[in-house]
Amino acid sequence: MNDFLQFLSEPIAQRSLWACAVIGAADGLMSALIVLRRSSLQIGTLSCALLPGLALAILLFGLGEWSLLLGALAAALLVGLSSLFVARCSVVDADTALSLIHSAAFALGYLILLALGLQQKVDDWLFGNILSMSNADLCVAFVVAALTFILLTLFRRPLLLWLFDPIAAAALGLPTRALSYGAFALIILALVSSLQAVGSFLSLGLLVIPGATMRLLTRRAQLMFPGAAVIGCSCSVLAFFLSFPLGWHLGATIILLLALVFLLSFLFSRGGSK
Amino acid sequence: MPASHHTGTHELRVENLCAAYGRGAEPALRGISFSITCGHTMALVGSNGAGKSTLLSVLAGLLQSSSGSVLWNGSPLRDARHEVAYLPQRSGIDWSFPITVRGVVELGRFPSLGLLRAAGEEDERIVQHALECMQLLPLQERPISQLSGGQQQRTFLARALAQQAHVLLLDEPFTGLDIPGVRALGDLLHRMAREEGRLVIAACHDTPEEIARVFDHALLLDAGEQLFFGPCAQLLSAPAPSSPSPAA
Repeated sequence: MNDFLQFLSEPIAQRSLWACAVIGAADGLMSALIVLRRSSLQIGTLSCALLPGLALAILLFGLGEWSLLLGALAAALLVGLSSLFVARCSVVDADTALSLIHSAAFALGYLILLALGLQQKVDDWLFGNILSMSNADLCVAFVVAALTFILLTLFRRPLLLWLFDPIAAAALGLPTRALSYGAFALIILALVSSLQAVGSFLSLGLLVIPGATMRLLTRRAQLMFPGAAVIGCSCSVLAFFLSFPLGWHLGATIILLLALVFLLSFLFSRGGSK
Repeated sequence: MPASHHTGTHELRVENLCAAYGRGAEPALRGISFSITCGHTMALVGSNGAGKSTLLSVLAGLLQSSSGSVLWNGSPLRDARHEVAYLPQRSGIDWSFPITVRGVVELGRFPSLGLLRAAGEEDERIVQHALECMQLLPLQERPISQLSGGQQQRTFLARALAQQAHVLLLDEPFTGLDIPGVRALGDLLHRMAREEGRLVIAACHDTPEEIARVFDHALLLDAGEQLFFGPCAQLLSAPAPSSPSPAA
């Protein structure tokens, strides 16, 4: 217990705790949008496709916040657009194209990182290492979280209309294509900012499970957003306090706690109201 | 001002309208012209691929016309999008979306509220009135997934009422409804035109008798061309389309 209290007084622990709260809340908020858009599988694929972008960014510009961010964005865009291109120019459907391009991109990124001698970094990016977050990482997480909160609150009404009835939204003159690209860009930002904390594999859980849990608990889409943010934040903070005494990996503990909350919600709501 | 005050005064005028899906594509609509005022109901009839949904898409502003004009009281309809409520085919809606009947109807206030303005008492009153008109008050807290086909259509009509749109565009509203449901919805559409002063335009696949019961005007399309426009009573004497039509 004393060890833990001493650990809590360290700047690294305080930074990690802040990171858990901020990333948990922001990703939770985003998860409501992802679940309502029914794009969980797409996000899962994209989260792994960031790896080659990161690897190429390190290869070309070295390790740095902005090079990683740009590399991840470029990879997400390239994989997303090339899967659309393959789907449009062949008989292969978009999901199949996305799956095959993401696995090829992932393999390429893995080989580049190994060639650069970054074996330890590979593990961090796959599964996250919240304790290695710097002040700059925390700043990026804060900025992304603030942007997410402001945009999702400001555009709550048009987003709901677009998510529920995109044709009527377009008929009312809403820029549905801009909303779609904006949502995509926000999701990529959330993915990148949570990469260091929970890694590309586990960030999918943080970006889907809180929203899916709220989907079981409420009949109102607008309640899913704040509810999912609270679930994401509280599970991440609780995981921080549990992982140290249990000696568990923090990222994995966050996802397991979220899965447990989902399971309990599933059992108590009997699968949710249809 | 209540919509009923506009009966017979607000006019939708379509002149020599042509439209195609993409540049260089075969025109999906050619030379469509008609004019109709609020307080009327108009059926778009014709076989599959005749251009009914395309015409609705152009009127709703979802598809740009390649030539011709769509005017609302003499001005381009695209400048008055809040005046148009588009109700897509039921198959185009995600009915498992977590939203209640009241939530759907409240979305109709979006054009008036915009991004930042919170819903006020007047908005609440309008939503309440829309729910009442469509006899949805007892169902207002029910998720839309738990509604029957007819109740789902009434929910969308209530959203159109809350939007205070004068032009209602419906894409095959009767599809999937049983006979009493078709009758009830037909009566509602009729009432929305006559009592609420809306202009109701719907793409239909029904028999001429059923169409004449609900609609006072009809526009018969065949392969993107207009074969007939006028009172429903004259629809049976209209030229027969080249392909078999449900209206024939």
